[in-house]
Amino acid sequence: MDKHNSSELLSSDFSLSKNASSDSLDSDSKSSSLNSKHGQDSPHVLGDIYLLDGEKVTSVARDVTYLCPYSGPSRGVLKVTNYQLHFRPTDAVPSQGTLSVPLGVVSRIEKVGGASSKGENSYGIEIFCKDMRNLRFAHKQENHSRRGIFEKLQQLAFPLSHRFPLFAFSYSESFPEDGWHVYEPIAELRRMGVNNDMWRITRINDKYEVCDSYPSIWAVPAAANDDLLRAVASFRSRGRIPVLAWIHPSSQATITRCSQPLVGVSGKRSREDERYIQLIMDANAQAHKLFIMDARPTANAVANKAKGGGYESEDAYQNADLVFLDIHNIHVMRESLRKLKELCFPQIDQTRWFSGIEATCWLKHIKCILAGAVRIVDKVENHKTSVLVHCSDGWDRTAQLTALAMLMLDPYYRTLRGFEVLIEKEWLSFGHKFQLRIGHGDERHSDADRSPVFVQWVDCVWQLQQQFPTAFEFTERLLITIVDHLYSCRFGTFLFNTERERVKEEVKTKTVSLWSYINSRQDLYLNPLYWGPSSFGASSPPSPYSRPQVVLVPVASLRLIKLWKALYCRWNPTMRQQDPIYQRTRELVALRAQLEAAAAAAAGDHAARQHRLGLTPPRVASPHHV
Amino acid sequence: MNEKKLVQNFKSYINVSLDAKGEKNGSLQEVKPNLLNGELVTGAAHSVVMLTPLSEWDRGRFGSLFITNYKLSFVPLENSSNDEYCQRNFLLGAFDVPLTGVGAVWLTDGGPSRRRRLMPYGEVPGKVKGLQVICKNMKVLTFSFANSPIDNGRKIALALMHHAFPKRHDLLFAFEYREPYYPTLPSDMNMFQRTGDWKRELERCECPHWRITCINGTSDAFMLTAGETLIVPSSVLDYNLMESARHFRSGRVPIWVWGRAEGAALLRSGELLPTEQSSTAESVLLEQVRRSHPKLTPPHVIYLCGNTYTNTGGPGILPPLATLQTSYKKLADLCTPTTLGGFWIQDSQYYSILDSSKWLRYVANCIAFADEAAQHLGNNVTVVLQEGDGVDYCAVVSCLTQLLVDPHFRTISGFQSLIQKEWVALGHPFCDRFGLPRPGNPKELTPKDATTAQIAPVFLLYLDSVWQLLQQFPAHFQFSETYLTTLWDCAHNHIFDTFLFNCARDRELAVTRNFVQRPVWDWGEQFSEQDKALFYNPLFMGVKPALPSQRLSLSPQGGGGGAEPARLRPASSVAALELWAQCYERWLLPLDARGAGHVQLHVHNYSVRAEIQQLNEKLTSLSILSRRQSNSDESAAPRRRNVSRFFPFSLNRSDVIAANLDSMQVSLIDASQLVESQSLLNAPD
Repeated sequence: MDKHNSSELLSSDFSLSKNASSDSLDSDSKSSSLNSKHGQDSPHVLGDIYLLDGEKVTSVARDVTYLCPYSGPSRGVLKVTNYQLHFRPTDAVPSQGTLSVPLGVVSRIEKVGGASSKGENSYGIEIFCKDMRNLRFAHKQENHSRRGIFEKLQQLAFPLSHRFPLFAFSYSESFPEDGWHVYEPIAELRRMGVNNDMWRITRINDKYEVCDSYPSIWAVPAAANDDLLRAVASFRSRGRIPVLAWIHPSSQATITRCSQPLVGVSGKRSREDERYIQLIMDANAQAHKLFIMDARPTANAVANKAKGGGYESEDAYQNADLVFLDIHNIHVMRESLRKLKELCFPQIDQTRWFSGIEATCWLKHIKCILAGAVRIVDKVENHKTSVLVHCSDGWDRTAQLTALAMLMLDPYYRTLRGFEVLIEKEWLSFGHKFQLRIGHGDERHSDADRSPVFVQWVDCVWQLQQQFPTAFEFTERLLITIVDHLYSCRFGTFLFNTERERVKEEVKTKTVSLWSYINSRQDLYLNPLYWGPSSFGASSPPSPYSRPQVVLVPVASLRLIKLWKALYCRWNPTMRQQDPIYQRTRELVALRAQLEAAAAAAAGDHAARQHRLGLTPPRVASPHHV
Repeated sequence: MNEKKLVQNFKSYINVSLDAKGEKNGSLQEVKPNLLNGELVTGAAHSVVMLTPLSEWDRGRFGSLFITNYKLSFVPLENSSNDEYCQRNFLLGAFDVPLTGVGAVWLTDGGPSRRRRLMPYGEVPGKVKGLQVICKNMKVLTFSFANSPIDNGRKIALALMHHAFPKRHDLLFAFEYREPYYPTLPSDMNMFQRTGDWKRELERCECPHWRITCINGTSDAFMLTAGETLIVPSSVLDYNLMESARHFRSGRVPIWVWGRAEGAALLRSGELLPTEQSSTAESVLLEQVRRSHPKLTPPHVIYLCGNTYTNTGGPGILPPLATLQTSYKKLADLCTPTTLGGFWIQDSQYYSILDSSKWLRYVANCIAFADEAAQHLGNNVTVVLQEGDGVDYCAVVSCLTQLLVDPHFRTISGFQSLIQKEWVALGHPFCDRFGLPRPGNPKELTPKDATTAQIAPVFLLYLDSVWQLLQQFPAHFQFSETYLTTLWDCAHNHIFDTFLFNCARDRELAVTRNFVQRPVWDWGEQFSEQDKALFYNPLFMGVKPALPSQRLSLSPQGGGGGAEPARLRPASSVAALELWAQCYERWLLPLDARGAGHVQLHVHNYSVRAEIQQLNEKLTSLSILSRRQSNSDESAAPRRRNVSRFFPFSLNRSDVIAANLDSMQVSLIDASQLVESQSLLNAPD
């Protein structure tokens, strides 16, 4: 086992690793050959624990019992490093391996029982995790045996609350590719053909002064000058003005994103904002209309007026149609996922499984988001009309919708690299508040700002993958790996709230990018069924109509929207996928490649032999390409 | 606002756009259905509109509707290239339904909403404006007679009700079909019709401690619903069997169906009758079973419906057949919405409706029982399954168990042999369960009789369970999900005799009266080579190498060659199961989309397999220095296809995607449903 396995370690519970982790989805026991080195350096082995570069063991507790909800209690040694919690059973039961959980997933640590508690295993600690599981450890009741490890855990799991740096700043593994270069905003805009007649690139926010939660580079209508941009910023919540997210390669219809207008109860108006919206409309010659998709339910949008926000009135914004998409806020989503965790972990109640799913509303929320994105796609693709998307602040629901719509519209984002670009652009650069929503290294577990908005979006992507299994270059393994490292704090990618903060904290120089790690072993994530252009040059955008499956239109029906068991139920060994379907497909594809090579070689031999015999050389069959 | 939107979707279908087509009335008479040899038209209606299912618009097709003694057939006035399903049936067109496939018939006002159900043998009203036919395979056909000549609707309804629900078994079309039949069954298929067939099975399993008895073929027969051949412990005498049979329901003493060379065997039996000595009789027989085990291990009895004596039961047992039928009806309702509005209303409660049907729970229970039985067999312990008359759940669980432990049954001919053994030879009452009249009953069926025979989808429960195994072990079965779905369709095609009788005795009786047996397994009778190819699972690794010319080893999962293949260990939690969408939801047009669905995986792998085969052939021809050029096959390289979700059961449509976009009704979700407390709603974002 080596370092690469951290993704596996991460997702492994008692080395059900091969079953319960993402690995089980597309590989089987044999393919633990996949556990080859992911990085360049070999792991440091210290005793029985594999440490990453920059990782140190800080605390060891012997004679601890791990209470696994599935395989029962097992005794062993619990170690805490600055990166992970590591448990190795001492009684060697072959079915039980080690448990390794990055401390980043820890949401809350509590003591269970007291010195006088009766009953076996009643005294210990319980760890509540962000990744849909809880861990129980029992300690011996003598001598406050849990005190040391409890305090260490508190410190290391919540470094920010104790004025320590996150592990990502200590982690120093090097990879062949630097993932920080995956997304170059100018190159991505060029890929979409910007600058052009209608859209220009502006550096007005170079110092993050116009909008501190936006990136430094924007694309805006060419006709809008910097003064206008500043004026619009003052009328949009937190200065998040409408800027370009995506432009249709042939019709020039666009998706733009922003925050709510500061209308307020008095119904304020801004001539500049109205003019600016008109410019966005005018930048698309194909339509004389603009759709404003407000992600919120109508009631919420109205309620926001009381707080100075609101929505565009159709009187003020002529030629604009306002549509509410009925997607609920972060608090509703958090509550929904909490219920889902109750349903999935630890035991599943068979008698009310499906009605339980319905009661969580999780899939209905997913349906709403998918349906909203489909409406955007419909307007842009079928009606050639530009769409402006916003919610309240434009960093949660807006990011979900624009990123999802772009994924449906543009096959580039469905490649492995394109997907990384999409996350960097729509989520990271436009200031989705990862720090607040995930709460990296922060002990305030009940903070109202936490919410699984990004995970929910990844779930939507998974739904798309399920509906269109050949349209993505990558498999769900990539999605699960991303979710794992969303919490792990091993990479700098998902740290902090905004581009401005990341620049200030020098994230790019002081931490490693998740994409460095993923791109060094792309083969692990590739989908053998992928049917699309084999490569997309950044400079040569393919014609969107010359390929199969250019635009994906999922059906937002609960008959097709499924619970992502491989993510939410993965700790439960009875829920594991039995057989590796992708693995088998890969074997078939590999066999075909071998035969192609053999056929080409044999054809060569055959030709040579015939030549020697003085016969007319036959037409040599060219190697068969697929 | 939601309501308003809903109402807009319920458009009136009464004024279906006639355009100028009404003028073509003169040509209507020329339209004719394709008839088979022996098939007769018994009712016809012209200028009928067949409504497009689940469509938002007033769309439909003009044509004529015919009822024959075999099928219901709609013949559109104008042919369109979109009229064919990807899977074509030689016997049935795209708009044909065999009469035994008709499940329920509803009267309508000419639109898609139902008015009231027409009951078999019941009254047909004087005026019939429209009919809706719900097929047993969940397809829904809706016809409007608003533009038809007066009386046509009623005539059709009468003919349909008369022929779709015949009063005597020998009125079924299989008795009229005149086409000669030349059997071409695969040689390795065992039909379990003769004693020799059972002997072959006993030898295949290498079970020396069991013997064949033919007493059931004599006048001393005690198990009337089974064939003449039974396999019993070698130590038990025929006389003892006859004595014991009195204590078991339907005379179903434990009989052998499968075994391992190591000694463990699988047996099935009926429940004990509440007679005084019944438990003694049972223990005597179980003792004989124990003696048939070389290690004298006592057998393990599994009570599939609970044990009435010890009162064991609980949530894991299988329900009475009537309960199963209720469950199936709920499932069918969920899968046969008739209006687009209804479709989306169901959608928002989809999971709770699915839960309340309990269908998947029963599937899970079957798999759990099979897993339990397989585990005991794996430990070399004999298993006896016990249930009711021993012909329903016994067949389901016995088959599933054998699929888990014996790879032979995971091939297509093995699977078909298994159905012949467990369902056909051992007498699953297909007529009763499918709602057909009982054979050999000279009296005409009265409505009262119809209710005494229990209709229940036991066979579907089995196919669904097999499908779940196929999902969990995608590389272990030679057949595909398309094969299973097709099999369910064909179970309702009464040209074939396989599912047409209650027991072997009834079949033999019919054969003596010149009835021609046509096993459904002769797939060439219905499907082209191209369609049959889709029955094969491209991921199958083979018991033996699946491709004869496979050079490079594709070792099965176990790795070690020659090692005993491990039994499959399925997950039997309800949460691990899925709804069999291809079978139940394939007619729901709003769900269809190009390039979508799990089927893409199969299509991809079919083409890879085909290329592998071509390359192998090319290598062979090159290596023998053939002078023939193999270049010609280059052009025949299979192209990857962009098929729809329910391929091959989808029409060749191109307008599917466009039609869907506008129909997605987000607003049908009641926002208040999504939040628990209002406070969350109003909390700051």
